[in-house]
Amino acid sequence: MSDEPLLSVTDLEKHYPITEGLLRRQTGTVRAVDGVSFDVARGESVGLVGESGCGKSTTALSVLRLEEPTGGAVRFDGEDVLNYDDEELRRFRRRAQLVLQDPDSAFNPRQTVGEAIEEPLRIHGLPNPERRRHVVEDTIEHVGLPADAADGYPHEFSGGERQRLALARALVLNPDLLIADEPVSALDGRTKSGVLELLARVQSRFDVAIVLISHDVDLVRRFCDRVAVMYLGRVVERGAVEDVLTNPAHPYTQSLVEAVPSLDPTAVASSPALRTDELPDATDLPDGCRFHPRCPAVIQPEGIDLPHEEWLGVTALRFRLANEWGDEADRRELLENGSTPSRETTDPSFETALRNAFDLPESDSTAESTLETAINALESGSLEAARRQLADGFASPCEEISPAELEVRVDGESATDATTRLVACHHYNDDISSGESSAPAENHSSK
Amino acid sequence: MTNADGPPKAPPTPPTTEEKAAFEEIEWEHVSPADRTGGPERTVFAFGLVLLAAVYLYHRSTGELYLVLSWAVGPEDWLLLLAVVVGVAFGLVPRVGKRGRREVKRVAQRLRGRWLTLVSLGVLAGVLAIALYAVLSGLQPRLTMETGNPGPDRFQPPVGFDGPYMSTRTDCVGTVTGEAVGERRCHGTWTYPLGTDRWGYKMTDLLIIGSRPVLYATVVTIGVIVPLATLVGVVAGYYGGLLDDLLMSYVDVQLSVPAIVLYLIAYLFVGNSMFVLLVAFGLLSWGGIARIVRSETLQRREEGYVRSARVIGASNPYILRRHVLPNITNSIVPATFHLIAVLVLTEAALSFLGFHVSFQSWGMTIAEGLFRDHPLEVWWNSTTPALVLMATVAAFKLAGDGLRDVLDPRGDHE
Repeated sequence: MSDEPLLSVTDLEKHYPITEGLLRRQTGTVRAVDGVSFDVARGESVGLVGESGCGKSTTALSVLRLEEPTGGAVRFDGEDVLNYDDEELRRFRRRAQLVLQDPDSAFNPRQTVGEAIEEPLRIHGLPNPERRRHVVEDTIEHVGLPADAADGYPHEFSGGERQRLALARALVLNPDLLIADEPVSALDGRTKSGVLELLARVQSRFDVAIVLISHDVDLVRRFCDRVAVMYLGRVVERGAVEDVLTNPAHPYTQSLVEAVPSLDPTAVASSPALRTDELPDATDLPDGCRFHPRCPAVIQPEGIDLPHEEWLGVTALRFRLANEWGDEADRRELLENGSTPSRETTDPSFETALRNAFDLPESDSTAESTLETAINALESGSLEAARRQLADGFASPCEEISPAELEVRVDGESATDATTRLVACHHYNDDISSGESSAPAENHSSK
Repeated sequence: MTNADGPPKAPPTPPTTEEKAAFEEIEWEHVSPADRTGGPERTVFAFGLVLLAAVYLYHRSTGELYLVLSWAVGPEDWLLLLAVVVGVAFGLVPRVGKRGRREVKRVAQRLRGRWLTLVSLGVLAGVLAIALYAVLSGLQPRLTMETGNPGPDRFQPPVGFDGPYMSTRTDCVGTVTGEAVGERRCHGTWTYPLGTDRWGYKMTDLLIIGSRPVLYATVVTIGVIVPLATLVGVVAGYYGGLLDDLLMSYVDVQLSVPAIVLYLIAYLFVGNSMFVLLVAFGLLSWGGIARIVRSETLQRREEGYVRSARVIGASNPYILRRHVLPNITNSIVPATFHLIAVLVLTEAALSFLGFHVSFQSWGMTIAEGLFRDHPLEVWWNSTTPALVLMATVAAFKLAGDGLRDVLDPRGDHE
């Protein structure tokens, strides 16, 4: 394995403009991929994991230049992919291939499978039809199907067989890099492991580097050497699979790993649930750390030191007010639902209801005075004033500063130089999280 | 490189000879990457255009009426020839190669057993062959003077039927039955198997001549109108953006111009001909097909096989030709045949109303048989062309639907 990685992606950006009208005036931007970096060494498999909509697939398409990236750099085998001329791009298209998720649409229904697998050879100019046919049949046998499958039409094959054939089409040019975008998520259990096994065999035998894009943490754990966890267009954590997925450092990775159902019914969740399952609007992403509206470990600002639950309650109230406070209806609902714990109180005041609903503190004096003013403002109907009050008093550094990738070493892990773990979270930046006692993982275990 | 509990990975082994054959042998640097997008098609098309222009200029310079045989060429005929050039270049040439022949064989195999489609195609082939004969020979209906009486033999009934003796103006070729002059019936003979009309023209001649509009409608639709609509729709749908906006805006404008108004204006100022009809109703009616093609293209563009083709470095024209176009025939083929049927019916309707688009077409003959006293007494004058027209239109619709199924390999296991 040479020093230089086969594929090196640095600060990759893909922004889609939102335009309006005939003159295409730009009214907004979707930051589908916004500063993604990762490396892939020769023959290695790297997992790109994250929720749907986090930009995994766009990253793949941008790396392959099926979508033109709007920023960043992609280096393939030491060459700058984004500055390829036509001839170099053509050579790149021989060496980097893509396998798609949906085996139903992967093949042109009007072509035989053989014609489809032969197509890369024909496009890249292999003139001899007999030789093409020979290569095609050979490749089909490599993926575990009989050679005469070449004469069948796509609809005559099952989903798993089609995915094998799609793999054959990707391999027929003998690529160095294979990007597999959710290659097995459309398949059922047994077919899935069959295709995965094939992928692993192909990788080891032909020394192909594989980028496996998946939302399935378990799949990445089983298949990949290294992993990059993506959230809303950014990589939040990357490193060796056994480090990142067994001992996640970023709160998002923790929740992602936690979301995999355990076979042990007595297992207790070790990290708290996300505050909301709702993803922010793609056209209006949160400032600072993109994960902060959902993060269970938002850092408290300097001068505030509330117990964890109460701090989460305060932030929850704040985000609720900032985003979707529907005035009267919300207020009434709050009075009805929020007051249930204190039913004995005959006349539940707005303040008690609010405090109950959001689990708000009464301890810390600085926090309390700010909170009190905000609640009073809200009660008197001044939403703006309440928002401002809370924003001034409880603004977390997570909302203001975008976290940079930092090298993190957790005790007892097998990190070597080759598998440095990088995490983009303020908890690991001592300048910012100085008020906090420790990393989020410890934070949770202590409660 | 570490791997905790993944699948066992074999240490890198030297590739076996078999693998070498499959994956290693091709030395790409020695292979010339020739993008052969539509090579022969374009050559044939360009050659055809040049040839057509040469023939046109030559024909103009000689000042002759006939081009070949007794074919008196007008503007609609040059449109027809242009359509033939397009059809040969982009319809026939791609079928000549090995792959094309294989496709044709597959389609032919799928045609077996679909008797309705086969009969429809047979009917259409027959009608088109007859129309071609009528056009090339410049056929004119012959007056019939079999009886000794002076003047043509008017309103002779078809063989096996009888008609009123009075309508023939006491000039019946066959046997006459009945007593009183007003009650007498004239019986049809094999001399005029389908009878004659009021001028004494043979109905068979009229039916043959009346088929000419079918030829023009079919060839011009397949060779000019639908290629234009497909090109616009595919380009708009695939490339999108400003091009899409402009093309579709134009289509909207075009769709909002009623063809009949345009036809009537042209009728007043240019005159009447098949050319005017084809331009007004044909070249202005492709907007609907273009819209269908565009929306289909928008869907196909996102399909995995299009993306896969782009990954392997296929050019856009190649993708459009090999992956997008074949997969939108499901909508293009029925729409094409529908448009032909509509054009044939439009011509018949206009001729019926007295705009004699194509002289002695089926519509005109129907009208001549109907717009007189006691039309039912000489029913054959209007019924036979009506039946032929109906059969032709039905054949177009059935053939369109049948061909769509035949072209789709997924229909094999029905």
